Amino acid sequence: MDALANILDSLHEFEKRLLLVLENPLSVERAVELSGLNHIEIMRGAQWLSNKGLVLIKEKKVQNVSLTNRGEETVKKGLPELRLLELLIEKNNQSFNDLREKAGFDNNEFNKAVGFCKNNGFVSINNGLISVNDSGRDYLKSEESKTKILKDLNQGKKVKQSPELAELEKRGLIINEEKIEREIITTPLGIQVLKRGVDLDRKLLERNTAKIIKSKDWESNDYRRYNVSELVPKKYYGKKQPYLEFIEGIKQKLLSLGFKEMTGPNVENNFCNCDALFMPQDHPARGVHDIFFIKEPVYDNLKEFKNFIKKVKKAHEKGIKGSTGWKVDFNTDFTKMLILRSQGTAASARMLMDKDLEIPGKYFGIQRVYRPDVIDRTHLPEFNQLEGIVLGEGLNLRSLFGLLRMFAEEVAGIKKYKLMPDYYPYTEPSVSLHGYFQGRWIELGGAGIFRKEVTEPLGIKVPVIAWGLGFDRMFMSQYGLKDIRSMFCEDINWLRDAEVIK
Amino acid sequence: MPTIEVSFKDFQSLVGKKLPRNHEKLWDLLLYIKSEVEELHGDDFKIELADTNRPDLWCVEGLARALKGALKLEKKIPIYKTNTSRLVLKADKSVNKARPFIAAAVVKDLKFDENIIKQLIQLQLKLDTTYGRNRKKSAIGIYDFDKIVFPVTYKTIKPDGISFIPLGFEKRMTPEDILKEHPKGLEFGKIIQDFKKYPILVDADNKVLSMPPIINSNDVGKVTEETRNVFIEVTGTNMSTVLGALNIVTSALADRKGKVFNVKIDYGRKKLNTPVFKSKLIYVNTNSIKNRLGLDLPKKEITSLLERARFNIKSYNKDFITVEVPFYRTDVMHEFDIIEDIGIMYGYENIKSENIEISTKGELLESTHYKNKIRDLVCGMCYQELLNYTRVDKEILFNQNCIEIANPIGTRMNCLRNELLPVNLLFLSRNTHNEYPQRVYEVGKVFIKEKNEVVEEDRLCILSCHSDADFTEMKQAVEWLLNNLKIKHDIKEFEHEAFIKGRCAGISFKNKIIGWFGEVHPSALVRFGLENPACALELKIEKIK
Repeated sequence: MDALANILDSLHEFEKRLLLVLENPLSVERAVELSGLNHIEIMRGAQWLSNKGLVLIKEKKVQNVSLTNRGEETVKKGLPELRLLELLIEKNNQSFNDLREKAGFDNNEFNKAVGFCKNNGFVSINNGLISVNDSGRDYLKSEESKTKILKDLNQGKKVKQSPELAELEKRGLIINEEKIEREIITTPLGIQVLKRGVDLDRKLLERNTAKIIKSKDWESNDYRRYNVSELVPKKYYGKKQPYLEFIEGIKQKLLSLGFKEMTGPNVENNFCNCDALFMPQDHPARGVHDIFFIKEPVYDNLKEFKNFIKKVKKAHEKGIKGSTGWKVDFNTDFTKMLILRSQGTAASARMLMDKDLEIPGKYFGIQRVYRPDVIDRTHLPEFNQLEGIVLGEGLNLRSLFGLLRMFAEEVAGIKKYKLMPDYYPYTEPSVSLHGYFQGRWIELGGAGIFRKEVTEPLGIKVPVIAWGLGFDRMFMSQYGLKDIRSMFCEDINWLRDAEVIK
Repeated sequence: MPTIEVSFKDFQSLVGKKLPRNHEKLWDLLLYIKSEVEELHGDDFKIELADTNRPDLWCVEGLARALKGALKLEKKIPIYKTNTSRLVLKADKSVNKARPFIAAAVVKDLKFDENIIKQLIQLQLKLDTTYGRNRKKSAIGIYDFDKIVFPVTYKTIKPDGISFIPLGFEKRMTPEDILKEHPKGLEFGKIIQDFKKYPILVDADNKVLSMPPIINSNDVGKVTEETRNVFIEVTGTNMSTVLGALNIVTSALADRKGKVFNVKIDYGRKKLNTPVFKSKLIYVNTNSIKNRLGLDLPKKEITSLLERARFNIKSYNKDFITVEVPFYRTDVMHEFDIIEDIGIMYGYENIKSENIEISTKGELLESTHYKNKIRDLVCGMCYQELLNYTRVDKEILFNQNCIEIANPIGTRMNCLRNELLPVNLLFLSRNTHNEYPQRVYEVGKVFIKEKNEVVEEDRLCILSCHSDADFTEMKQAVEWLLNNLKIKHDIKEFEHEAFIKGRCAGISFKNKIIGWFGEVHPSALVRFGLENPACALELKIEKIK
């Protein structure tokens, strides 16, 4: 099918009727007259034709004068003061009542008209009889133009702008306003289409309906072609939060690598958050500037951990076999205090104390953590950490390297990476993973083997690798985000438009 | 992580070798000393230190000392000599009730310049802040030795019992004044303000040296380029920390070719010469090395690696190595601390990684699985998922019985959410300029105070806001959701402050209310600046599993 035929097959009945009556140019009013369509139908047809490039719609501003309801009535009866004068010219010296009856005005209007004529000296009143004088006759003559305007308007004629219009408008008889007049002009393409032949009798199926489907009309008729590139109003559907989806992707990879999910509460106690991890109670990261404390209740009862507390306390204060410990006092009230978890490793500590712990085993957890940092482009007081443990006989620094390599290659999908000595209070040795990502080195995570001072009091006899991955920077890079706050996005438009990353 | 600023030239001259300026090459070298290049512009060299437990590395002298070993320029523990002196520091027993411990040293024949003074102050600051726990556990004072008449006395004094000109001021002040007016008094005053008497350090002429751990005096407590000999003291609440801090400062100055002299601390009955440059012995099991690192290294190599890490070997037999740990290594408490250093000196780039052959089955928590199913369902109902904060402003909550944070940042975000609806309304309140309808949902935790315990609960909130939002819309959503989850439930009349009376329903499951939904009350809409009607659901997920 050629282009012109396609166009013809896309024309709606309104468009066809309009095209067929088009003069060049054609006003909308004229189109209404010629096409048998109403104003709205003409306008829609014209718009569709214009979208297809078959016509141009030219707009121009014009001053439009029209009669009000009162104006229409006045055309029938005439303006009260002029009608009064006319009646008097026909027959002078008439009484009030006679005049009012003849004129057909109500009292109010009639009194106003009499008052007007008297005050202007057009009439004189003697013994209850009214008579017109010469100036009244002159005034009637001079006011003929006003009557003509009203009459012209009533007959649908156009009137020119004149000083009289202002007075008529003031009296509420006419409306003098600016209006947009539209003219429809056929384009060369429109003319081509017309020449090809617009056939009003060719039936095209409009909106598809159950009735059409049943009637089998579609066997003998074509459907009218739609302009498929026409813009449609936007609509928003359901969608997952992009950051959560990103985490979901990482979870899937970890599951495929054999990791089991673990968890812990957001409102944690000092014991699991730090003490069981052998962080001394006076550690700089354990004060009110680094951890949120709970106002009420202040303490956890630590019921499920009571078998471990004594041993952990001893490791802190006196050490274990082969270790001196921190030699720092261990306060059993402080260890009970409720806080907002400040590190995901708290969940690992819980897992190690869990009766369902599997050895050997591999675990991961995505934990919400909290730090009293002031919120800015690179700091959030509340964020997520991905942490976990791997435990079993024979794990060593080389297996730790193997784990980090696997994370770099399988989880982060990074080829160029570097392992560096690092420090965490609860692991020795400790290693951090740096990956070369989109042109620069970023820290992707770290791992270490839990110190004996951590595992021994918890009754764990095999080496335990503790690991953590920082995926926030990868997420930000992938989405081109400069501001970490975007992860908890508060802008619905960003969420609606954000790409779904493969 | 601490960052220190050093002079590149100074660092290089302390190491005694030309160092590469190329970032990556320099980074590779710094790995030996657990550090990273933060910045290098001209001579200004910023180093980020990874190890917050190695205060001996928080100064350029210590870094150079460790790097010299790693680069095989020197090996084993460097030799530090203390010369005997007749200098005495008397510690009055009254300090036991305030700040019981003190240690001191004198270092002579120093050649200070602007850079060395800067480094010294930087080290003092880092040690006081981190190692000394903001001066509570230990605090360092450094003085011009030649202005002091020995013996020096460490005692306590009434808050108005003495006056002196503190550092950086021009007028004499009493300890009481200092706590009230001096910036350092305001910053650190809380360490001593509860004592009846405050610690003070005076010389034989009763001249004030300092008021530990707050401030030095302005005349003797200042080190300038003219200073040749210094007196260093450390006070604190933990003896090993006090000695450790003194050792680190003294050894750094010794690396600057200063001559170290001891000071006799006279506690009355007990007397002690400080600094104590005493190394300790740690036994390292040779099997532990093999097991921890996964490397089977010959004796010769282990010996060389240990010596590069600046340890000495006292004896080496088949099973055990007796390792001598230098006095400035306050971090070493277990053989693993030494084994890590063996690995670092061996070089991480030389260690082959090994796959972990633990075969386990990956598994999500049952609750995660269930939450994911619900998220999928609601997403299919054309709602946009949200991720909101769990900390909120208390004023946005409908129910004021919540878990409050004792130390929020400022006054905002001062408690944990006890319902999801308010945070979701808050989200919509920030999007009133965007297109409607707005249909959102969140699956997340809420925190409830129950019998003086914190209960964490997984919930689902769905919220729909647009010109036609009504009860029917939400009830349709609820029925669809619960039917798909096969939750046999009853709908009951329910009241909740957030909903219009008579247009709110409770979802009853096994005779317990597990959720509620309805038309959001105009008072709630107005509070969140919303102009359109809204309907919402809040559902306890755990209760329906």
